[in-house]
Amino acid sequence: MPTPADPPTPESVPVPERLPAVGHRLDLLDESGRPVTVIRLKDGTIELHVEGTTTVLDATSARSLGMLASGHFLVRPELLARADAVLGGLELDWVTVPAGGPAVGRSIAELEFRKRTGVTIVAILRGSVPVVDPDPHQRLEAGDELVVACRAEERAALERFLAGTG
Amino acid sequence: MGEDLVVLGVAFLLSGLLARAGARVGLPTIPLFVLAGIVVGPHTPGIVLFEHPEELELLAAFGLIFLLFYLGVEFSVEDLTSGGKRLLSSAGLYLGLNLGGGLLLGFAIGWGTSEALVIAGATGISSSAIVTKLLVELHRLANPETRLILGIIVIEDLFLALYLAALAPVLGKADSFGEGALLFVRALAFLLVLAAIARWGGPVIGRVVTAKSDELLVVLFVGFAFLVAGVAYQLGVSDAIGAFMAGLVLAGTAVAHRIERQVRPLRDAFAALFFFTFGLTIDVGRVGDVVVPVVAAIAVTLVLALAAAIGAARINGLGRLAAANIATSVAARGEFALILVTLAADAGLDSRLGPFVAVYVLVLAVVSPVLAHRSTAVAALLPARLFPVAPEAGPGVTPPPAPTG
Repeated sequence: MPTPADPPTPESVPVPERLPAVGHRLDLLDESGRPVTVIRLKDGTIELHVEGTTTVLDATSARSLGMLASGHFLVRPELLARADAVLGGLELDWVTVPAGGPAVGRSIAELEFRKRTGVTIVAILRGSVPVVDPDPHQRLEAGDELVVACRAEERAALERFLAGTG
Repeated sequence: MGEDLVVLGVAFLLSGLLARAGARVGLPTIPLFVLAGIVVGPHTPGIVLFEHPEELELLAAFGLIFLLFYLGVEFSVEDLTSGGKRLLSSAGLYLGLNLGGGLLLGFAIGWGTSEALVIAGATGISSSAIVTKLLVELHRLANPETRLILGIIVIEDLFLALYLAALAPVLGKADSFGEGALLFVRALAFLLVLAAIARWGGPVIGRVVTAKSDELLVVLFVGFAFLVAGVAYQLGVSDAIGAFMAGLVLAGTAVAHRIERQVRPLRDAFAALFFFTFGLTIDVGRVGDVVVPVVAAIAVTLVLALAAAIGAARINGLGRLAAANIATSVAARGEFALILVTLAADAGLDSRLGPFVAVYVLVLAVVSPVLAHRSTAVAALLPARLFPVAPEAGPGVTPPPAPTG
């Protein structure tokens, strides 16, 4: 995996805004500067609006698109869709282990990861070799991307844990 | 017991099948649930499914509680403030015109002051359920006027809670001025206490209802919603406000999104029964008494929706198609009118309010989507000189993204 570029500055990243009672809206520009509006409904449906035409993707297709766009092909989308139904409220999420955090250089077992965060590490993405279902003695390194099964509200706590502020 | 279950099953199925047939031709569900109730109600000739609609009172109240609880959970202060002054002034214009018009209409109908206040609320507040569904179905979510429409609806949702509190003396059967004042103060105090809990008590309440499993979460938040609704009712404030405020308190907790997702199926099932039960109470024989007021109310609502939409479009620099889109969608009436009139019936107000609101909602819930589908034709009727600056935008055309921040 190539080294990640510098994180883009906040100003240059379009941020989704809330659409009350409906979902979220993201305004983008395509390469030729035409406005592209993306709407995400609460049920996960995605609408793409470009110059008066509307394309609608159902939740499963939208999720596949999202995975493709974010470059994560580790989990097949149909499995992810099923996982959502089976796990009920659990989501698969990606977090990066920050450099200088207390987790760097320690194993999953030493960190008592699941006990302290409630979150399960499904895989570790490091370099070009993803480690699926990592061994408890696996040590974490700065820059590791952790694929975790967590609930939405555990996400912030997880980030604090990795940063050593929680 | 067995018979009750059979009858309830038929009620749900009838409502669902009728609404599904209506959805094929683009009709919203709420009026069709009401219609199903009217058809098999005791006052309508033909099959009578329920001889005594009042036996369904408790189950129907679940619907009302879940409807308002959901609104509360979904509510975010950010939605109110993010639109800025233009949104607030547009929504203020809309509410002011429609409530003012509704109040004048209510007095003109002449059923009494309490009745006029109920008519003002029922005709002044849009159906957020129907409006949002319309915007999604017509693929208008990316349109420039949609932020404005959704903003108006959010403010209407909040206003409804305040208006219910203001109506506490009317809906609480106060006999004297003193008693009415006491009810009003109590309602206001209740709102303030729960608003304070929503603001500062989130973590504590969050700990009470939080559970890792969805099963336990549902059990806990339903308990919390019913408890607050019940306490509100005991205080004479109405269970509807209680349920809304319970939702508002939970909206500030970390589990708000999970609650929102879990309460939706409960709301859908019991709200259908609430609308159906309202339909049961309608005496079609009395519709004749209310024809003139209903026609007047529909005319007032459509004209004021258009006037407010033109004003809002001008404030926000939008064109006449946007104005037509705003007017035709926000004219939809539904759950709020029905909630208000149900509370009015409990309080023993004029019995003509029931058929009046029933016919009014049935007509507008159908007319509004029909007009919204043809908003280009509606726009063509508006004089272009009313929109000095705005360029004409076609349906679905999005302006360049607004600068964020």
